Amino acid sequence: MKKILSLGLLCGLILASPIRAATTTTINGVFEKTVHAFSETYAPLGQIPASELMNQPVVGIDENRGLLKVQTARGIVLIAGAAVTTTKAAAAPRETACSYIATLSASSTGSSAGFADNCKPSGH
Amino acid sequence: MKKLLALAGTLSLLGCSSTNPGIPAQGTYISHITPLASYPPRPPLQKLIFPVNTGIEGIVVDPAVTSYMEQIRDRLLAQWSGVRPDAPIFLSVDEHFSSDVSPAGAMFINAGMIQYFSDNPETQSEDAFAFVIAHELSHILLGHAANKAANTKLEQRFAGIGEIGTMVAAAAGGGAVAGSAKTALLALYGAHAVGEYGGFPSWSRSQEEEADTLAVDLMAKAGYSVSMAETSLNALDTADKRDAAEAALKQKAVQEKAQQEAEKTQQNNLATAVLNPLLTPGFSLLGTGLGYVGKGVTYVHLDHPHAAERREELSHYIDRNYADLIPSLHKAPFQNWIRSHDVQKFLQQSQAINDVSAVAPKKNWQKTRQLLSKIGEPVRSSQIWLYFNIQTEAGLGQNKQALADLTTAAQRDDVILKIVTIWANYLNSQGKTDDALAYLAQQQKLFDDPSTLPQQIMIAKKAKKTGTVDGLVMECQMTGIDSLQQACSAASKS
Repeated sequence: MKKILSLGLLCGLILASPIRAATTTTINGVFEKTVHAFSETYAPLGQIPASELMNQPVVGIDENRGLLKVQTARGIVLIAGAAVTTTKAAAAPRETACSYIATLSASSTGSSAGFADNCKPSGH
Repeated sequence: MKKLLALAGTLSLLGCSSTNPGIPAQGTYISHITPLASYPPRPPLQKLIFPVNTGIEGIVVDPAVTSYMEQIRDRLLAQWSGVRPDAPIFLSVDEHFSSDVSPAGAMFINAGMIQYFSDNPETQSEDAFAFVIAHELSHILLGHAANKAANTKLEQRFAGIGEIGTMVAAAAGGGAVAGSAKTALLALYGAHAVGEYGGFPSWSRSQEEEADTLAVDLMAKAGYSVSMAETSLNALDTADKRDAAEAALKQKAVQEKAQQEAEKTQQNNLATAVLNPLLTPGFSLLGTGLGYVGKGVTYVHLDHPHAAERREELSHYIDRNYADLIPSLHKAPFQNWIRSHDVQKFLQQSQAINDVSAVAPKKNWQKTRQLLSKIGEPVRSSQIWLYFNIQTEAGLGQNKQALADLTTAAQRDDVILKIVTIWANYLNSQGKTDDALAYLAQQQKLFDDPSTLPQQIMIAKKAKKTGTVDGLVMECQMTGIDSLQQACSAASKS
């Protein structure tokens, strides 16, 4: 199933209009065959086929609940950002030099339970 | 042999009780977890914040900044049905976009993480930030960090005890005895280790997925929008791609350079190029390029799965369990907090101390002093500020003041390992050998970390305390840590 969805994502990317992609954020990937959708007044619309969302423009973000407003053939629907990927990349964290972040501990019993990998400098 | 012993020790203890069965195919993860019956009591600060205090950055304490994060933590923790650990939160001036937990159950939020939310207004909701807190809290609730630390230490001690067994047996009469002595010691030590550490699972990257998943469960139960969990993972994903692109650029540059050099060599010495296939462009260039990029790729993703993978797994899980939940976002409290004077001050000061760390190695002490003087509380009270200030004072010849500051810093319970080593060296330089050794031994116990053993050996050796040196070398051997053993060996021969 993932392969089919990935293929759909790839096709979507290839077929997407270059002009629209340059100016408008569009849905370029989904994780399931169907996606839970809501009306602009948050009424549940049930699950709509992912194909109805692919390559459709994101016309805004619902400020109250953080949902994406997507223009579809059935009108504007709200969907959770976690359910899809879009052509707009998130802002990147600032780059760091890791200039002094080095442990003097020899035991390596520290944590790797961080949110992300830590800086691993060549040494201090 | 060392690796085999470590493996044997680990394997013999795997399969002990686990607190959770893994992420289920159906239903929520949290409903399948049997919470731990208890968490270890909160240790002294020095042990609580280990290993952050083995780096120069240490911690920053500022309740004006962390109290809001503690409210989020408490709201999440209220959803946990089991015993609730303290999970204290500390700040770090680390610019890296991350956060962490210590084996003893403290959380550390990097300036780099807070900075991201400050820089990007579209990310500013308590819901999005709650995922970061919930992720770290989940590691604590699931006992991940403590287990990993215990696992590593145990493996090292198994390796160390094997070597001691060999030493004992060799002293007793040769290789035939070595095996049985080793086995006996291993059995004895193994029993002790089981009693000390209890059962533990092997450490794996799947624990990241477990922490992400439990975080989402806690968020949902606390009334947060779980869809906002994607915020930080999306940022990581962008960073992943940026790092990959940079690695590709570096690869290309290395390849081009190698090709140019190979062509130059070929032109200069055509006969050699023909005779030696290693000098032909395609061959040498490929080897150099792949080697470099391979290193870069593993550097970026050494411990954690790709953010895109984590995001996809979470999306499936959210779709299965929480797709119909679309609560209102909690924006105002977060925006008030992230834009507050206290938070912005901490971020500015973190940036400033990072600037100091870049200038200090150049030993431009006037410049360093100027930068340090502009840093106020809370970073001014941190060990990293003290460390650079002591360096600066010493660099400017203000030895009396440097010594006063070093004396204070060395006695604090948030002391960093670097200050410990400097203070012990100072004591030793003043002929106070016993004081230096006692201080290092005390700090070794408080850190629960053997890193100062080579320094202790060196000091004892200089003072001609042969018995002490022998004992410390044996203790060092017991750690099973290659690099440390080598350093101890070198110190004992110095």
